[in-house]
Amino acid sequence: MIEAVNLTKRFDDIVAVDHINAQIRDGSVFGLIGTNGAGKSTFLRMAAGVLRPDGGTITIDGMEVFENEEAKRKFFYISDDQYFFSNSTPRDMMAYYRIVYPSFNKERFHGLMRSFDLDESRKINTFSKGMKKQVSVICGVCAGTDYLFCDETFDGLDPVMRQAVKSIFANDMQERHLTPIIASHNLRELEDICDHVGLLHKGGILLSRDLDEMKMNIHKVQCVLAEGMEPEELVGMEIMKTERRGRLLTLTVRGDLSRVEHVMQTANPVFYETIPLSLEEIFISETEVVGYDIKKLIF
Amino acid sequence: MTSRNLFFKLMREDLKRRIWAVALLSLGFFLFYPVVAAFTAGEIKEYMDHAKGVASYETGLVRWLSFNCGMTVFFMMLSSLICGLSSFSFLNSKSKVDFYHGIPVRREKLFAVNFLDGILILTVPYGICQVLAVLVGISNGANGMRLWQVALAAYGLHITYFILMYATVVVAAMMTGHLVIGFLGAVVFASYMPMAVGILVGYFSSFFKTYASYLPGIFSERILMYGIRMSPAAEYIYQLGIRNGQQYQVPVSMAVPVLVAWVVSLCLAVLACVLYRKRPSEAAGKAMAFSVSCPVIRILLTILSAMGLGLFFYVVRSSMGWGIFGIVFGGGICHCVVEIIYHFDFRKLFSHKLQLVCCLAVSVLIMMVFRFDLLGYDRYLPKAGQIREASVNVDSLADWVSYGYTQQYPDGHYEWVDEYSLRENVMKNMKYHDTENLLALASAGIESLEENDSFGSYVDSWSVADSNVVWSTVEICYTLNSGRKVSRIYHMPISSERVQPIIWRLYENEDYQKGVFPLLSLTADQVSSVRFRGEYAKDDSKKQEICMDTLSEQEKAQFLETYQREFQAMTVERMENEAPVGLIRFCKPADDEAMDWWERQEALGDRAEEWYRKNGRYGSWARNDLWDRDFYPVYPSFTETIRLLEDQGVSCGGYLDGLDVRAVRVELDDSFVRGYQEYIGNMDPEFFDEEYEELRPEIRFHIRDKEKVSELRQVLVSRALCYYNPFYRAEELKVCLMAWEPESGEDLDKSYEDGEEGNWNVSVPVSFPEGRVPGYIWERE
Repeated sequence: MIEAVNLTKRFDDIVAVDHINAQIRDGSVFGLIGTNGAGKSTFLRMAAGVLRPDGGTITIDGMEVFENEEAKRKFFYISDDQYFFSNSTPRDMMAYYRIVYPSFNKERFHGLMRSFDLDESRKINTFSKGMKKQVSVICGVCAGTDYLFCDETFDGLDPVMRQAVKSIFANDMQERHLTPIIASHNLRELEDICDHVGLLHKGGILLSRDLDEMKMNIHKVQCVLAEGMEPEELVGMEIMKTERRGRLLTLTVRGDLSRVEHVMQTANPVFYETIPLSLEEIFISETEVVGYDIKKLIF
Repeated sequence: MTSRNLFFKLMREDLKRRIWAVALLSLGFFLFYPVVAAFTAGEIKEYMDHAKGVASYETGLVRWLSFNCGMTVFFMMLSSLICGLSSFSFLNSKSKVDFYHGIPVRREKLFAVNFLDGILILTVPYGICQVLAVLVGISNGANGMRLWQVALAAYGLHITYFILMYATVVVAAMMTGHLVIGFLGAVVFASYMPMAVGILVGYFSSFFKTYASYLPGIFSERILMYGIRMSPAAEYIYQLGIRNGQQYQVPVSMAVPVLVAWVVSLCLAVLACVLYRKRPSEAAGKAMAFSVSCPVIRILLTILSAMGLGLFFYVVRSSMGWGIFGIVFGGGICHCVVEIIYHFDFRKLFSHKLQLVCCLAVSVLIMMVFRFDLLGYDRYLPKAGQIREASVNVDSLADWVSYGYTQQYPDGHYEWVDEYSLRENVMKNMKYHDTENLLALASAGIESLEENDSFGSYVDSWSVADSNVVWSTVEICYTLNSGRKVSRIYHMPISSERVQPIIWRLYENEDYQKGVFPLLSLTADQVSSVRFRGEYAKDDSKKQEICMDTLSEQEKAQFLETYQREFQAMTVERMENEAPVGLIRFCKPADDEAMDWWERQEALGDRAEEWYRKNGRYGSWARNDLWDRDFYPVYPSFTETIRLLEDQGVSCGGYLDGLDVRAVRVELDDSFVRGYQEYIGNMDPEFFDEEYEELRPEIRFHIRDKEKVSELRQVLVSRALCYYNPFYRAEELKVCLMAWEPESGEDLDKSYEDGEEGNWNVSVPVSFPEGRVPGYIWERE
């Protein structure tokens, strides 16, 4: 298990990670999502022992990570801009990783390279961005570590490859309890791969829960209320956001579905309909609640 | 075992990544050693004598392979930068840092791997190429043993200083997050201390008139000696400099500096490792890895730059205004450049205005302290009770004394070696205890300084109104009761009414004499012969010399004791009126051996030893130098010494008697004009000037009248002998005896053909004793 307690990191005057408390349990795909500058990469770099925390601790299976070889042997870190030796081939990289990761599975590496149709003896600098990501993931999976840290690794992977990777993860999770931790701001990429998400915002963690649970706890309601009735009068409804188009209201509400439907029925609206939210919509809603105006960024 | 395997595997992998550096240095060393060794071997064929060609080739190759090869030093400096910066260049890239710091390898291990690889990248190709060069040399007939010795010693020494510089570059790389800034950091580490010391010494020498960097106990002496070497490159060059040309001579032990270099390298390596452990990974790409070092480096560089440019402008214009301009300009520019480097942003030029202002204020304050001598450096005068002893050197009093010895070199030839200068000897050996006179001398120096200050500029002997006054440099080194040495240098009129008694008292003091004249410390058992020069001879000094090498031990002891006693008893008052009648030398066995050797070689001619045949012209210079050293004056009042000489059949007092003098030449100059002015009394200055202008074209005239010549010969004294008496009161008028001396083997009776000026071939400089210039000289009759 990876555990962060009051984890803090500052870059000069900027607090990149602000007293984060989180637990990442083994055996699931953990998605770390957040806005740009939320602290995802910083969190992962601290988890990988690259950065030394300014405050708090981060442990892997109870061991401090920074400058701890034993703890570091438990994970493989793929950074957002993974480094490959200049003029190196995937085979060269494998040779290096075999030195530092004693459990590196050479045969599996060859197998996966063939499966992904990647030439082991071709120079990596001639690969496309997506192919480089594939090489990184293959190296990471074959390193034989308990954890795999992927920072924006799925950017640039096409859906087919994403599914292929997901199946590899699923296989490794089942066979040797691999725990992939994937940081991304692209919610659509995580939606179909993660079991659990941690939502980071402005250096703090907003929530950390199972994806299914999260999806079930936030809903969108489209409705036309009775004449003269306002959304604020919906008793027992925790409304996070209200949009109006004439009399048609779109409400983003928190709570379980049965309770939301019960409140709507009680209010006797002209019309209502509950719509499931995508992970992206959940993310926008949660961040808006804490004052993050996503529209300002988009427009 | 696993860990050790991992270490070596990582080293191998790292070397694979840096194969470009291995290739670059290998190529460089290959061209530099084996190729040069083979290329220069072609010179052997150019010699008619193959053995000579091989010897010349071997000498050249030894110079090339040795520690004294400047090109190797340059190569090592460049290589230390390449290896040091490339070893840890990964720290400057975020992606590389993420990679290397994300793998399960501790930083210490990574450091050791990269650090050692950086050393191996140079040492292995260098070693292989040295070996190849030696083999090429041997295959061409050079002495293998000699080449192996030189190459091995050079390899050890160059590697030592390479590692020292490399470790410093690595420290610079650890403190910075950018390759270019790392390079600049290495340059700063290599040059800051030498520059700081240079500027500090510049302040001392520009603002303090009593400062001389070469004197012991001077504030900056230690800084000069050690501070300037607090840069690996400067230490490397320093060691090279002091051993320049020593590959053929008795080697100076380098054990201590090499040991120091290794210890410092080790300390720097540990420091670099600690810095690496502390270094934040997020420093990649930033100018400075540690924010705490930013202000320190900025302040140090700004103050140095401000003080350096301030000094430059002050020295050029001698104006405080320009000095302050230099401080503001230099400090401001440096501060801004550092800020740009730190932030990569022009808008941050003045983001630390207060620091800039403080740096400039400190620099101005330092300049003020020096300019107005606020610490009283030039006025320093210890209390009598504080002084244990002192060394005093008055340049003009003993510039004729030799401080050295005769040495035989491994090739068999002899030379005189100047072990010390007069100053060095005095500072090393003198223990002057007459505190009262010492302080009087120092006070006179300070007073003279203040008088000069009142003129608004420094006054030297050439610009003073009264040119009859003799000015001299006086150096005093106090040894205080605490053991501390403090030195000051003064420029003062030593023949002025006030200073003259002090100088006389100093000269007659036994402590002073023992410190200045090595002869007074000589013992009879060290003497093998006594030589005397009492007659002038042209060119060949041997002609005029009488060597008493058959004296018994008792006679030698008597000679030495008598001369020492009379020399010490000689008062300045007597010296003022006595010109020496001859010169005496108490030779040591090595001196006699050397002179015998030279005479033997001259007699052997073509069969002489190799060194003598090879160095004909240089050889004669070395021989003459050996022959003319270590002589002391014999005065007419040294009656006992003269009697001992006469007992040995040596007559004194006829130094110029052997000359066939045909005329006396008088040359006019300022001294003549002054003398003329005194002679004619209170002449109207305007008229005098006109008279002088008329005289000026006729600057030289000859007195040929035999009677006058004969009369003048009775009065004139040898200028060569007077050189040994600093107090002798002679007229400054330039006079020469024009004589004819037949060349060796020439018919003595043959009349010399009259030339344009007269029938002489020798001019012997002589002087008139003070006040004894005949009137017709002034009238030019």
